[in-house]
Amino acid sequence: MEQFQPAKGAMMEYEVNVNGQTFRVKFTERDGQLFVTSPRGTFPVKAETPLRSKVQRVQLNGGAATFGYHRDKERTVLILDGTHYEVQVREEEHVRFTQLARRPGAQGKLDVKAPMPGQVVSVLVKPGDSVKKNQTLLFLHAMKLENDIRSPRDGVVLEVPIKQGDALEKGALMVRLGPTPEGR
Amino acid sequence: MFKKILIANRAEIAHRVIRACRKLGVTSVAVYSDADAHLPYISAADESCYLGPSPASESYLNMARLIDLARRHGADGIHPGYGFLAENAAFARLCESSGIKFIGPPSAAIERLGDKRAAKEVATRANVPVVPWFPCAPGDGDAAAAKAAQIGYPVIVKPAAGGGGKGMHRAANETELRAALPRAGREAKASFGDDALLVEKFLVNPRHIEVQILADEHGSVLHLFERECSLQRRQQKLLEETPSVALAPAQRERICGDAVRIAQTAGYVNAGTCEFLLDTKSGTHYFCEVNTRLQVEHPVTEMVTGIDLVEQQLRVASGEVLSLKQSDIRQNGAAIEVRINSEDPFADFMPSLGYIEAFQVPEGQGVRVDAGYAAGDSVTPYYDSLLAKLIVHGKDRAEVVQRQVAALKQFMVVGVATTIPTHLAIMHDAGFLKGDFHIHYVESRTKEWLKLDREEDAAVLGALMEYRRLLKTREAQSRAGEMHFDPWSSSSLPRVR
Repeated sequence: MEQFQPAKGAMMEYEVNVNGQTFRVKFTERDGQLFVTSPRGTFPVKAETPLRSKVQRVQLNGGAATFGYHRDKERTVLILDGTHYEVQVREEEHVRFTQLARRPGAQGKLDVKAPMPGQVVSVLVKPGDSVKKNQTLLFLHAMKLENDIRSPRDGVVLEVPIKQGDALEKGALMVRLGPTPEGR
Repeated sequence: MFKKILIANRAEIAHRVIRACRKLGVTSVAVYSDADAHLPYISAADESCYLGPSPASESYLNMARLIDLARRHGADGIHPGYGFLAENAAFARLCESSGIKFIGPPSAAIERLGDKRAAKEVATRANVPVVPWFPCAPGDGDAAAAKAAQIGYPVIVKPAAGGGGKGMHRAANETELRAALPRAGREAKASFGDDALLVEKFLVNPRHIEVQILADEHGSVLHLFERECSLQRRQQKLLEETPSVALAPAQRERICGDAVRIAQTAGYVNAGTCEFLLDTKSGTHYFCEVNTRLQVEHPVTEMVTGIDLVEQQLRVASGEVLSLKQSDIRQNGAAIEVRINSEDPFADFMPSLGYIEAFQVPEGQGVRVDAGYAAGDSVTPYYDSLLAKLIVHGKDRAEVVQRQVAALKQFMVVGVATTIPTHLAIMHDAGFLKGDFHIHYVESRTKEWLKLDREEDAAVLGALMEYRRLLKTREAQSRAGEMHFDPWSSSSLPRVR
């Protein structure tokens, strides 16, 4: 079983859809104990089975809950007392958290996407440029701030499909990076 | 006692027979089709052999192949289980002529009792009430109307040669009867090749009570009390229990006595079940039919009587005199069996096929599970949908219900839908708990039983799993050194699906 230790004070909030109903579920950590908050209230929670197990056991507010769990590309299903519940879990965007990693794209490509809707203030790189990790690629005006968007790693700029003044949706591709010619 | 028997069946009942063989030191031979090649019963047997392609007609119904395999393996007996060839007189005859003992009644008894009209005649000769009836041809409108007036409406028209609920038509009055006859005749001809009909009095909301019979080859006929199987959906039993709460002791004695007399009159041998319909209004029970085989629900009888029915079948078939006496047989406590089928109660009980990712069966005091599948097996479309039987025993019905609830909550199946939610609903159903139900009760309650009330739990637990995955990914990537401080990025995880 993985020893997951949520970072001190770390929080994560989700929006979960189950059979057309939406629930907000939040996780917080206090004194090494994980708490979950849902419409019902806030309760201590502790997982007792490995993440990969199809039958899960969880201590929730002092009582044990056992359920079946199946997750694949198409759907996530929880089985409670034999009844199947299909759930869709989505992270809430406005929550900040530290220590995130980004998965590299296929073939060592890495897409830098707009984290929220905003307007391109200025673009500092063009295709062919070599960049270093944390180097500022562009400035995006969003949420009343000028945000410097930095490179997640060393690399080469492959594409910059944006220009000054563009209004971007969340998730829009801003810069596509490739590996440096010597490899990653 | 047999040296070696071949079990001409599959899944849970094959495993059940294999267990009895082990107990008695009999070598067991299992057979399997393509679809069943990895089911647990195969490795439980001493020997096993490939039977044929998945369709039943090419495997479990292939009489010649089964006899051939039995011969090659040197089996001196064949146990047919239930379903498939268990009530096939031709197969029983084929075994007899091949010098292999068919573990069941003689083929003549199967034939006699398999025909509905002949079976009713046996019951009448045994002085057992039969639902008032008369035979009739589709064109006999006038004669039928006259006789129906005598027995009283409503009546039901049935094919004389068929079963399985096909070609049955209810008639509330003469007009409906005259309309039903030609229709039923056409359907009977199409399904069974014979348009002979019979018309029976239609009992309103009867209860299904059956009696377990055991007879040896030396004239001894015993009963092992009754089972109530009124909870059915489309003529298929969902749940069976013993004792029946609908029977007072005197009535129990009468029904069981009637079953014994019918078995004696028919010259029955080995295990069988006599089915009755109980008309609660009048308190009269009527003979319905005899099942000349071991039934799916035999475990509830085993739990309360302490008798191993399959063992007794093997003993009787090997010519032993039954060592049991009627006075030794008692009902101790109560038992309920629920059938865990791979059907989706939320999709009108549509069969649920697929790969079983997890299959954890309950344990506990008085809990018995007869399972045909395990984790890693696949449910295929070729056979029935029975995954396992969950049988619970207790000192009284209330204790059994309590234990069933706990057991059902422990029973974890991931990969296919099951009838577990339906059984949990039944265990909380007021009518069921009071013992107030009949053979049409389930149909009237299934909508009520479709309860979805744990959405918030599902949300909380689903979110927890995603959060755990997030933390695990972070941890893995931090270990891999691919750390990157970026307060504005959304994580590499959940997209909306």
